[in-house]
Amino acid sequence: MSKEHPSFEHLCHAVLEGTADEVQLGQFRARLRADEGQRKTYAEQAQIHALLTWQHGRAAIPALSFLSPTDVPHQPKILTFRSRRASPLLQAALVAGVVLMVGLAFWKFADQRRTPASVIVAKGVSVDILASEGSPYQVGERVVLEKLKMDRGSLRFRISSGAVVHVEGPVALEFVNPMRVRLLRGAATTDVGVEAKGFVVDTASATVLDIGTRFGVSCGDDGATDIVVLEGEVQVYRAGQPKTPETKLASLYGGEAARMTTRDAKIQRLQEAALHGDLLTIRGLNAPASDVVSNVSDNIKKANFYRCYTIVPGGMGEGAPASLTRLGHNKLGWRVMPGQPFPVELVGADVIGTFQGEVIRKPLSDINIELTRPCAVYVLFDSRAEPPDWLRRDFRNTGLRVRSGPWWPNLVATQNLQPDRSGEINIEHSVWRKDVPAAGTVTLGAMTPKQNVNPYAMYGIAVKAL
Amino acid sequence: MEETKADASGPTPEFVRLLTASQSAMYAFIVSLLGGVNDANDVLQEANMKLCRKCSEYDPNQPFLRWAYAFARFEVMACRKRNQRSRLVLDDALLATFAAELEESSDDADRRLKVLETCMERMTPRQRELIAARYGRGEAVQDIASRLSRSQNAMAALFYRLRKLLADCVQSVIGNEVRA
Repeated sequence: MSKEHPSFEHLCHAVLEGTADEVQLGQFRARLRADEGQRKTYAEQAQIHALLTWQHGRAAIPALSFLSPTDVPHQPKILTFRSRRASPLLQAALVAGVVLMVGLAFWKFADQRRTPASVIVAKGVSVDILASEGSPYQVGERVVLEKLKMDRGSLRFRISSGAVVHVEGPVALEFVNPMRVRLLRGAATTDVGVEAKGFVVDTASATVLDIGTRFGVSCGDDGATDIVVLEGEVQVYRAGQPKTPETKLASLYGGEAARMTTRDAKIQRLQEAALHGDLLTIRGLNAPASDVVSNVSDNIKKANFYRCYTIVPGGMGEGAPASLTRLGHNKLGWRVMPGQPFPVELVGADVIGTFQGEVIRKPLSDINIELTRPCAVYVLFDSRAEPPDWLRRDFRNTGLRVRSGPWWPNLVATQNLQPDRSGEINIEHSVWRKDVPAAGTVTLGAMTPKQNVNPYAMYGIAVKAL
Repeated sequence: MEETKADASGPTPEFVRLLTASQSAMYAFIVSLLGGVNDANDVLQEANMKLCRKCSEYDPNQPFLRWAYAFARFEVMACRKRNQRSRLVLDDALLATFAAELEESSDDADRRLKVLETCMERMTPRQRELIAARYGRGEAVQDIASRLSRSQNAMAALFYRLRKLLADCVQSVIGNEVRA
């Protein structure tokens, strides 16, 4: 192939990728004019190129929720087809089907108000850098970004819509507008606060709509998407689909996590999610999670059940997350006993966050922990409860104590507890230990025999390499 | 047939269903006429808006997609006019030829996308990974080439062949369905 006589496939590819120069465009047009077969070939290539773009969600149409107040200085004009009084039947139909249309119209008009049609709209969104480590940006800097690609380092920034996003390299994302980003690679944790309710994160397989919360989305190199809700609620849709009640795959709440392996796959419960405990951000699908724990799973089989176990590698210590909780409660953390230091033996262990048995209205069953090397496994057991047989048989009580808290009243687990001097409710846990001499699976049983009502806090778990 | 013609209130549910189901085909039509995905979203939005405004003019006895293509074609022309100084891939005569050919071949748009997904499943893991890198994660072809230590030309040819493979597969599956 020469530059003077490039192959048609080379020309075709350059055209579709937008890299053809004027000479190549001229050659391309000449070939199309002269040869019906090459016209057919181009049509095939363009169609597949477009459908693949569409299929992977990269041509998703912007929706109504995109625009933040700062981006739309005035209320947009109402479109003709919206301003007419619609019948109830029609209204229902519109809600069911074409949120899309309304979104398009709103978007378009809002856009037109910002800039005349003849002026090219500047792309990118304004972000303020809040924290930076090993990234090219400085704290306090305000930059307009269209894309962000980092191989290493971490960055926390506030988008003009108010959403605060934390990313760690390797990560790549595109800023569609102040209320929407597209995550191409890596992980992003977003705290939308109140202002940015309706913030959207797109990936190749899913669209995640935030309902006012803190959540993490991670994108693996294989195209899978993990969604972990740290607080509040998000709604998950298939990539490229309009966001309607009919197309919603799941609503996820604090402490829940799900995975979409591909755009067309069934949404599934993600049983474990790795976090950075201090920042409460997620670690990506491509980031190493734990050196000692390769998997945590249980045998709960329940429809629409998405509660997950969290792993914070090396994170055990004062304030380490014991459980992600739901419905607006603060996260539960591990705390020292009054007047005592945090047990040195536990510090730096990988901490596995569990969830309370009441979320499934029965005592939790077995939890399986897969270990990659010899480890000490710790169970942090509610001191008020009678230790079950499996704990007494396989573990030894170290005599160490820690507390979980702050809890809130009116729970089964806290109904007989009073707030301490600081006004908080804490639960004391005894620390049990089992040494596991080789890699393998450790199974932890239920808090109490299965037929018993369980009025105690769920146990916590920590793992440390021997 | 369910009543599709709109009253003064705007699009009927059936109209909305047809329009929603036609989005991928309209997008592909627009990309073909523009010669790439740049501006395709905007053109599709414009066409959708016009279609909604003119919904009462749609004759449900006529193929919806062909009617929608006419609006999309008009919006492509309008986009070209706005971007006169930008790179135009096709000249007016070629665009007219293509539009006519594509309008003739309008088939079940939703089905075409589903068949494409089936064809993707028939690809090797390596081929699927390349498609995921380019179209899912949005990596530039030259970046993929660099990552895999391949020349840009070799990678361009590979993507051309992958698209050709998928086009042949889609054509074959739909052809078999029609014959059956």
